[in-house]
Parts: sequence; C-alpha cells; structure tokens
Amino acid sequence: MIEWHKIPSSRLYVFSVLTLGIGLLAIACSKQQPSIDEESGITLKFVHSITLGLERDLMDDIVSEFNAAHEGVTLIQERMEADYYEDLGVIKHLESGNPPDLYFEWGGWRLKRCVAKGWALDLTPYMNDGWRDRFFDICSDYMDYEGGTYLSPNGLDITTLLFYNADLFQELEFQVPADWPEFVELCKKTKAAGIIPITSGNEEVWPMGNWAAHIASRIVGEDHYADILSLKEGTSLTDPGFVKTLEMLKEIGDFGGYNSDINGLAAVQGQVPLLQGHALFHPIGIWVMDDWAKDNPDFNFDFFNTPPIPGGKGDQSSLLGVVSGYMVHKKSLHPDLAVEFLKYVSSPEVQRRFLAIGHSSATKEAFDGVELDPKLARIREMLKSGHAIVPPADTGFQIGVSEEFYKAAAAVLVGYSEPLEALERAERGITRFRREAK
Amino acid sequence: MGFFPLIAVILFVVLPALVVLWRAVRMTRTYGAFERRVRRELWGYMFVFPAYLFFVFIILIPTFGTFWLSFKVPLGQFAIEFRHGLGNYVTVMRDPNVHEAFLNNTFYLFATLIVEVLVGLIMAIILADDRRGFHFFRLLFFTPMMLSMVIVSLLWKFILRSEGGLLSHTLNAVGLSSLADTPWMAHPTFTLPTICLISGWIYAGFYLILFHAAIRRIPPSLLESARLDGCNEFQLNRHVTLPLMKDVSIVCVLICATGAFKAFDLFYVMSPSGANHTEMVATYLVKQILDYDDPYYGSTIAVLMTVVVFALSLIITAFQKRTDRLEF
Repeated sequence: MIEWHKIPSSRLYVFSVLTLGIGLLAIACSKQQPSIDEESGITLKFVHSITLGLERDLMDDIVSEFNAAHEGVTLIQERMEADYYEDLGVIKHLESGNPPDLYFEWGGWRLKRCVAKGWALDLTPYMNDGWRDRFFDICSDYMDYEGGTYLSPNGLDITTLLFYNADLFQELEFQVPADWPEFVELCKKTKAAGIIPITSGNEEVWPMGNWAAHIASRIVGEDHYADILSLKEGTSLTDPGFVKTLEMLKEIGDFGGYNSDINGLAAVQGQVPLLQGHALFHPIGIWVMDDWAKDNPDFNFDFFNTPPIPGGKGDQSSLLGVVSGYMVHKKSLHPDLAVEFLKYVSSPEVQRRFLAIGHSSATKEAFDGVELDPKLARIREMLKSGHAIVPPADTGFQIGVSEEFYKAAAAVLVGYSEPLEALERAERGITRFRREAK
Repeated sequence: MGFFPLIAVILFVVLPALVVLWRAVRMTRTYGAFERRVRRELWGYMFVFPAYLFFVFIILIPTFGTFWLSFKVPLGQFAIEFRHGLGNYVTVMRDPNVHEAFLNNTFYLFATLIVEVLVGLIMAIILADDRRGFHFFRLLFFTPMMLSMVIVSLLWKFILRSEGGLLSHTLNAVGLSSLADTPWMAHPTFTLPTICLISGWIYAGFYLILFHAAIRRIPPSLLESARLDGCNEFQLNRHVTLPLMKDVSIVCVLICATGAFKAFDLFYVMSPSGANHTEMVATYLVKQILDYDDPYYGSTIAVLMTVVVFALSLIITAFQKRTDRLEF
C-alpha cells in the first residue's frame, strides 16, 4: 500500500503536473474523425435528422448500397434528433474543423444562410447531365441563390392543408367549401352542432402560424408576402393584408371556433380531438397522413386546401410548402463522391422507395408508374398543377421574424390581443432584425 | 473570437503568474534564503495552481467570453461581418421581448415570495409543534422538491389540460363546470399565474424546512416566558418567533429572488415558445442562442441578467447587514 503522507509534496506536485501535461498533450494530439482513413480508403460524413422508423431503415439501405458500389469509400451517417438538428446541431457540425461532406437542410432562408456563411458547395457544375431536370420546377426557388444551385431536393412537403374527420363531415352533410366565407359558415354550423370546428396544438406557435402565413400570402400576394417577411424596406408586419389575416382568424375564435387549449397543446396532442371525433378540421402538414395510416388505420379522413379568399391578391390555389434536401459542404474533400451520392438518392428508383414508405418526393419521375394511394395521388396532382408554392414563414424566412408573426397570431386566436395591436407588438419585436437587414 | 483567447490567457494566466513571480522576487529581498522563501509561499501557489486553472477554464473564461461576445454586433442578417460596440446593449434596452421577460421575471419574483416563502413560513409556524403526524406533513410538503422539474412540469401540464385534464374532470364532478374549461395553460391571462402557483407547490416545502429549522433554534424558554406574560399564539408569532427568524427570512428571500431571475426549466417545459407571453429572461436568452443562432445578443442578455441578479443580491445583503443581529 502506498503511504502517501511519506511522499514529499514536491514529488507529488511534479507527478500531478506531469500527468496533467501528458493528458492535455494526448488530447491535443488525438485526431478527430478523419475525412480520409488511410487504412480503409475514403470516408465521407453525412449528417441528418432521420432517426426513426421506415425512413431510417431506408436511408441505412441506401447508404449501404452506395458503399457497396464504391470500393474503398465509406459513407458514415451521424444522426441527430430533429429539433436539436434544426436549432444548433447542424450549425455546430458545419462550423466545426471537421465538417460533414453532406448534410440535410431546408430550402429558403436556411439555404441562403449556408451559402452566406460558406458552408455550401455550388452544385451548378454538376447539374448539366440532366440532374436538375429530375426535380419539380417549383423547387427552383428553394435550390438556387444568387445564381448558384446548392440543394438537391429530396422532400416537398405541403405544410398546411385542412384535414377533416370524414365521418363527421358526412354526418353534418357538408360539402368542401368553395371559398373562405363558406368555410367560416361550416365552422359556425359545426360549433352549433356541439363539435369543435378547428383543433390544433399551437403550443410551439408554428401549426397555426403556418396557416396564418398561408392566408396572408393569399391576401397580399406571394411577392409582397415575401417582401414583408424578408423585411424589405418600406414594408411592415402591420401591413393591412396581415391585419386582415389575423382578423379572419379572430372571427373564428370569436364564436369559439378553436379548441379552448389551442395554445397549450403540442402539435401531436392537437390532433386528438380530431381522431376522437370531437373536432372537425385540423390544419397541419401532409406528414400526418403517414402517421395516421400507421397508427390509426381506421380513421376516416380527407383534406382540402385553404379555401380561396375573395379579393385576395395572391394565387388562390397556392400551396404552403417547403422543399428540403441535401447539400454538400464547401470544405468537402470529396465533392465528386458526395454529389454522386446525392444523384443516387434523387434517382427515380430510390425516390420510389421513399414514396413507398409514405415520404413525399421532389422528383417528377418518382411518381411515374407507381400505384399511389388516392390521397397521395391528389397530393401529386396538387404539386404538378403549377400553382405557387409559398414557403412557410419559419423555414422560408428569418426565424426570429416568423416567430414574432406566429406569436401575434397565437395571441389573436385566444382573444388576448386585437390583430393590429398584436402585429404592432410583433413589429417592435423585429426592430433589431430590420436593422441587421439594412 | 479574434483576440479573445490571447486576452483571456494574458488576464487569467500571465498576469497572475507575474504577480506570483513579483511576490517571490520581493520576498527574496525581504527574507534572503531561497529555501525558506519557496517553502513558505511559492509551494502554496503551486498547489493552488491546478485548482486555479480549473477555475479559470470553467468560470472565469466563460464569464469573460460572454462579456466579450456581448460587444460583437453582427452586421447583416446572416451574421458574417461584425463590429464591436454597445449596439447589442442599445437593442436589448429597446427590445419589447426583453421588457416583457424582465416584467415576467419580476411578477414571478413577487408571486413566488408569496406562494413559496410566505406559504412556507406559514406552514412552518403551523407545523412547528411536534404533534403526531406533523413530521409526516412536513415530509409530504417537501416531497415535490425531490422530483425532477421536467417531470413535475409535464405532470401538471396533463393535470391542467382544459379538455380531458384531471382538474377539468374534477371541477366538472363537483359542479364547477364553468371553471372546467378554463385554459390554464393556453391563455396569457392564466398561464403565468398558474406556473407561479405550481412553483409554489414545488418550493414551499423547501422554505418550510428552512423556517422549521429556524423555529427549532429559538430557545423554548423565550417562548415560555412570552406565554407567561400573556401572549396569545398570534402575538407570540408576531412579536417573538418572526423577529427571531429575521436572518433566515432574509436568506430565504435572497434564494427566492435570485432563483426567480434564473427561472428556466419550469417555463421551458410548460410554455416552450412563449405563445402565452410567459417568456422569461433565461428562456429568451436560450432562444437567442439555440433557435436564432445569435450568441452575441444572447450574451448581452446574459450579462444584463447577471448584473440584475448581482444588484438584487447586493440590495438584499445590504438590507440584511442593516438589521440587528440577535444573539441567543
């Protein structure tokens, strides 16, 4: 047994300092995940947020197939939980000294940020072999920035449709409304029948915020909508069109058109009254179709797009949608291989496999020759119709700006604020973003 | 980060090392013998050095870094170019969300002084005796403190749901159906007060234990002589028990006040996006850094929050010093 008290303190000190020094030296000399593994060949790093279910299995298969087809190349995946990935996870990876070769991103403001910060490789030189033609034309606005192409789209999600309980809808003898006033009438009749007209879980403000953004774009027109949310000089969140948007939402709230705890429920919890037959409408994105098909196969639902708004300046059949996909890091040591992987992922064969598991696709050919579920077929027709795809405020524009608008909508829904008052407060909240935008 | 690492190393490593060296040289002139000098003081510094390094990297440099970052003002919406200045501080002062957050924190502070400290004090006085079952109640009231804050928050969210929540069912069952639909967690009018009450449910037991310990320290002879002088229970508490607990009360107020400005977890889980105007300084700060990718603005808010908490602590401790200390 060591008799510590007999060891001179000076020796103990020297020993401690040496141990600490060697430890620090070892940490300093240790290599991070190498981009090139000298023993086994080339290693590519791919970060994304696919962590669960069939999509994860499919991505594993795709990566294995790519690795098998490329001797000496190993594509490794690093997965992160979606919320963390979206906020900080991806940024930390992209800013690190060992950035990923490939990463998942959303088109719009986030893509622009990646380009501005030097995280995105311009894919334009790789696009000349017909790769670009694979994607729907409406993806262009999300792939391109300042003359370059940076995103290989993989998903084209419609982020807000009005889903409804088809059994209740039939019971109440309703028809799909032709315009907004008709929709409001349906809501009133639903309320009179003792059923909640619209249910949502708006705790995180995006579910109803997205819908409000869509309505706003219909009223002011897509370009002006983009100008306002991009903080273009001379615009304001208190634009009469935005005020009208919140007035329309308030009108429904005034007769008790929303579930009473709308701002206290998570998005998933907001679906419950719909599934239980206590509520009729539920504005949400098309991703729920896959969830319901798996978890509630007996649930009889249908959907329609936000009804046309009389007097609106925008495309009254526009869709609120977001394009997401994959990007190559500008510092990637193997951009050719990274692009090859993206081309493989966006190939019709692979995209059909995504469709088969209920994922949307941003490629045209993926839908060809596939026996689609009738509801998915309607979604495809909507996407192919050539109507405007409007980006939701939270992915298409600066998050701080969208959040202020969404919070204003949330305050109006429950009658806490008047529309103009809520938007004036939101406008004050974005003053610093407006200053930075200049 | 620019010059930050260099400045940090100079401030926290080079300067202290120079001070130690200067002291050693000065001692050489004073005492003469090198051996004695080293044995007396230099070894002490050397043994402190690893702990000091730890302190530097864990506390000093992050604090200094936060302060440093708060002066970096991003130019343009993608934060690529910067200038240094007080721009962030000016913006923070004008930001209505920061105003709202500080107001919410202040409301929370006063509310928790009542539902945590005052309720804890009243319960401690009521449960002061060693009657049968009182120990059980003290333990019962302290139990929420032992639960994870996230679990408590989620639990209460389920209880308070206006559609299908336990409280809603209970209110319906006892004939208070007009209250059953109250959106406790879904309307700005109710959400903040509700969270304050939940905070009280969690922490009142903690203050109960602190006050109970203080009451136990009061000499029984004092209470007995007061009773012999004709004090009733109210007078006894008003004129004897409470004045003797002044020091503990101030400590409790200090804990509560500084804790109120650090409030985060309860609000982050119960009202994550601030949709119900429940944004607190700490949640807004975290949102700036994590959601908006703006550590510069977040650091500015952090510096301001530190200043406010520090000022509050100074005021309370100054008040404490002014009060007469009673010796038993």
